[in-house]
Amino acid sequence: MGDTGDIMIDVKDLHKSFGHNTVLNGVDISIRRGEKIAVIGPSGSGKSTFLRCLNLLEQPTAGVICFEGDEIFSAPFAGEGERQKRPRPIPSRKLNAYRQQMGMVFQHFNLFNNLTVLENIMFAPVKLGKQKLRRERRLRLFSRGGEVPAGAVSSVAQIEKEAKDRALALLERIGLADKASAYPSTLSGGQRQRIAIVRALAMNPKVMLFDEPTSALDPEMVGEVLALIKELASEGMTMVIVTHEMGFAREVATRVLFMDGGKIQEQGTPEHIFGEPTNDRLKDFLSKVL
Amino acid sequence: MLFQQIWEVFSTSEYITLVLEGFRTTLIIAVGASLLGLVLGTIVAVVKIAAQKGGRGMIIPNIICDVYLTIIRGTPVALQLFIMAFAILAIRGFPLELTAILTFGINSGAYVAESLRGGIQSVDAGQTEAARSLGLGEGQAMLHIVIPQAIKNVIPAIGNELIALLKETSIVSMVGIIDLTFSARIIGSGSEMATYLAPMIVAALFYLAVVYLLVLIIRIIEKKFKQSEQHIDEKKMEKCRLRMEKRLRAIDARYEKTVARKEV
Repeated sequence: MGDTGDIMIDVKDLHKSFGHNTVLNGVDISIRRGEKIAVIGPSGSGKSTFLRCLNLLEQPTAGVICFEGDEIFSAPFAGEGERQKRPRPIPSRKLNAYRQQMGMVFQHFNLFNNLTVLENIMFAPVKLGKQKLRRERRLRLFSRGGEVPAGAVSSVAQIEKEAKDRALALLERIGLADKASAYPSTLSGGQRQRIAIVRALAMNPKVMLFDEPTSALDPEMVGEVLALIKELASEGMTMVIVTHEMGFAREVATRVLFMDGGKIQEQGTPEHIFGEPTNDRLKDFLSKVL
Repeated sequence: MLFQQIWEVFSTSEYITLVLEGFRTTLIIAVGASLLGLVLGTIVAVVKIAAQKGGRGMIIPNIICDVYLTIIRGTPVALQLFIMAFAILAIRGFPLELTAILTFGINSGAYVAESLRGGIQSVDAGQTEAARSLGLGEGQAMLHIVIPQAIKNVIPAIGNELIALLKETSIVSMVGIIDLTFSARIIGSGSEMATYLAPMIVAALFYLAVVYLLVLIIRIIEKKFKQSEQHIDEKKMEKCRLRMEKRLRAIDARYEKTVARKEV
């Protein structure tokens, strides 16, 4: 543990408000490759909004987000109480390319109800693979017989085959291969959440974002989901986990953020956060949840 | 006595031809209008949803749609038919049936639009979010995830709308189109029959038959779409599995074919 890879996601002075309700009030954080970050804090502290801003499901009001050195979002903060200009929308191609590198797992799973388990997992890789193929073909057409890069996907059949093999392997891994043809509504919460995690993994993301992955689960299902997340963590996946499971945060995280009032109040190693908290609000929070 | 008269309507070739011709007119108007209504309704629903999501350039189309919805839903369809037939489309030689199709199509479009919009909005926002978080575009999420689920939700409402539309077409007799209802009236007022009851009952039987058929079709479609929601029993599960395996084999076969082609 304690990996110190290069900086992957760099967030500066992130603000988000819904109307007059300010939810994020200046969040700064650099996430390094391989880090496992647990975000804790009372409800309404902006944890989930922070996570949703990270992959731009919510467009921040102001701030800067960089991913691997590329500036994804940037809008200067106008200042306290000043009128904030609406930031320009991010071009959709750039936005989608950015999101493809980030897996997101939701509290309520959000599996596609109209697709079977296997289709859920294959859907994005196949659709996006085809899209990419079309784009490449178009480019090649204009550049007149440019060299096809080695190892490039060259046919729809190959895309489907690879997506299928990967989806089946992922299902095998979580022991749900026999559910491949089932619809999500017939599965238990724990099974659904594990499939949702695997669906995100099918895109080969560089970061995984977990938004309270176990909050909507029956207590006896929590274990299986946490076990899978732990397994991912041990494989070196970079992740940000918003959670209320303090024991889990302590065990898995390399760094813990305590958020309150739309700001990171304190951060540090789990030993530091849980063992010797300095912030009063953190002390108060821990005394209530532990 | 009544049965005899009903039989008379069926057995007299003059009467039954009139009824069948009226029936044909009713069907043509109903089918044409429902197709137009579905197309119009879809367009309006999409515009309204896009405007709600803050789509650019949607302000004026949205206003047009609002005006359309308000006027159509706020006035009686008989009046709309009169306005179309006697004012807007009162052109010599313009087929009245077409006027009726346009009127009822435009009318039902408004109701279809509202049902569709409700259906799309009833799909959990998390479905779109999940698709977007995987890197899919707004359109792809809408087309492959949201709309299939929305359709499932709106089938009963749209079905009811189509049934109501079929029955509403009976007012075209007010502008002189000989539809099923009007043909029954003509027969009843003839000097030989001299009763309205028998031909009206015959017309009612025709309406009932079509409505019943529609109800059956809607039920079948609904069942098809509900597949993903049912607690699937063993047999259905097996069917799902077989279908999936077939698809997976198809993927493999296609892949092998392309590999073989490349090697040649």
